[in-house]
Amino acid sequence: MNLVIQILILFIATSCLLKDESPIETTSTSLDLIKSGDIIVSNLGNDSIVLLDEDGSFKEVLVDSPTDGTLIFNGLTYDSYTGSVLFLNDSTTGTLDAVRSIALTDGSVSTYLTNSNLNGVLPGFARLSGGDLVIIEGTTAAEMFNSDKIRQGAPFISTLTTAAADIQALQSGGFVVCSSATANTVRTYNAAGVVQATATSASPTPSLGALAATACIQDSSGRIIVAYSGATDAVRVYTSSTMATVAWTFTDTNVLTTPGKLAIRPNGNILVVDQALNHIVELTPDGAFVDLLGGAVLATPLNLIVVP
Amino acid sequence: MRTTFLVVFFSIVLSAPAFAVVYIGGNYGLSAYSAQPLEKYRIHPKGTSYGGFLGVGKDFVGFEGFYQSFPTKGEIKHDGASHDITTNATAIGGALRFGFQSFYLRLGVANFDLRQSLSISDEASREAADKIYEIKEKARKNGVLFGGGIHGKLSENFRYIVDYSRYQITGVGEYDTISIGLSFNLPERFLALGKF
Repeated sequence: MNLVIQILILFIATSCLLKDESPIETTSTSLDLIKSGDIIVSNLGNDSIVLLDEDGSFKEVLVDSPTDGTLIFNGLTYDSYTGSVLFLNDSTTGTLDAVRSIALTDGSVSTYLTNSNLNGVLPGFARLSGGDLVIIEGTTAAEMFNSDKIRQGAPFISTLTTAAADIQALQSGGFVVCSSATANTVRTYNAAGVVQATATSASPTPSLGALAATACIQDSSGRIIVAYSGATDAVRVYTSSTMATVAWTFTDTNVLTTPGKLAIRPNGNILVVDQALNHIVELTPDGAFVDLLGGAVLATPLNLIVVP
Repeated sequence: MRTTFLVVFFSIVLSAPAFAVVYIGGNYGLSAYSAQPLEKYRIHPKGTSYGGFLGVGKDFVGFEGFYQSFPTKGEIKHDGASHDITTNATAIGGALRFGFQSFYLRLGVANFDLRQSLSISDEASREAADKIYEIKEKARKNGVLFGGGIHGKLSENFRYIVDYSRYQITGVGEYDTISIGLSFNLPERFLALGKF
């Protein structure tokens, strides 16, 4: 065979063999059971916490209480301090009240915090950006524990509000609390626990009438989003943490009749559980309906988070 | 298994001169390792390939035993940093060589000794990466090889070889090699030394 052809074949073959591409980056978390974008929902109907993928398809049961009816998992949050999901183990007898954690790697559950002052109804909790964990205790007071789990104050706030339903951290370091009472239904606080702003379903306008708030949360744009339930069932967005102006209100009784808690997707879409219709409603940041998620596996869903 | 193979093979070679040509040779070249867990992340370890063979041949068919080494290395990006992945292997096996005037084809089986590792110092991070890239720290696997090349006469007993071979490790991955080599036909007087 001609030597030139042989050299040419060798050259082409070598070029193919030495093909080079930049490798795709991997992370240790890519093996985790619970991944970024996943949705975690707590159910009152069967005392469970379930893991859904970002499309709302079922992945795993993370927590399944053997004592249905005696536990409520109302508080649910992703905790960047522990790199885990925290939930409130709210016992109807008060003896098992605790903050428990779910490991992202394998979904294993362990107790993060117990304290004798946590003995009433625990509607929600929030890890503030300063590291403190604020827990609504008995629907009226707020207990605070620092990042070393040491109780702060006695309690932190004695009368937070009446019938508190939810609490979420604010970017400012404070928190927002909402309640099923119809006066000062939504309140923002600074990190010291001083009220900064209030709103109700009637004020600012347009009024929705006197409604209970079931959930409140701040999105990455600083807007406050509130779920209201009652004569009207709605998701309302306020343009800022001062809650002086309403950006938009979503109502549609075909898909949202009993709104529960709220979560925000990384793309800004808003998720709200419907406790009667047993699904998750997804809305765009502008308030347009997107989809219904997770319907097949939800049973009176209480709370949900999107893993960041 | 490797010892049994060597005993059987050398018995064949030493009894061969009565009817066939005995040849010996070596090669050196480039190798690239590919495996599904690495392809997924566009990782292509590369390195060298070298080895030797000893065979008996009659007419256009040769039966040879071989040893081949594949030291290869590649780059991975894991947990925000670049690291090396080392995918070394050695193979011992037997192959049939079908030789024609200017080219040949080769087909065989081999037993591979795999040694793979990652240069990640953090233990937790390395353990996770080991799982992602399905690292075989130390393993023995069987497989096959096939390939071919061009060859030509340099002198009465010497031939040059330009070879492409694929060594497939069952259930793990494969090495593609391109090498150049020399083959030497042993004169009968060499083999007569083994007849005492």
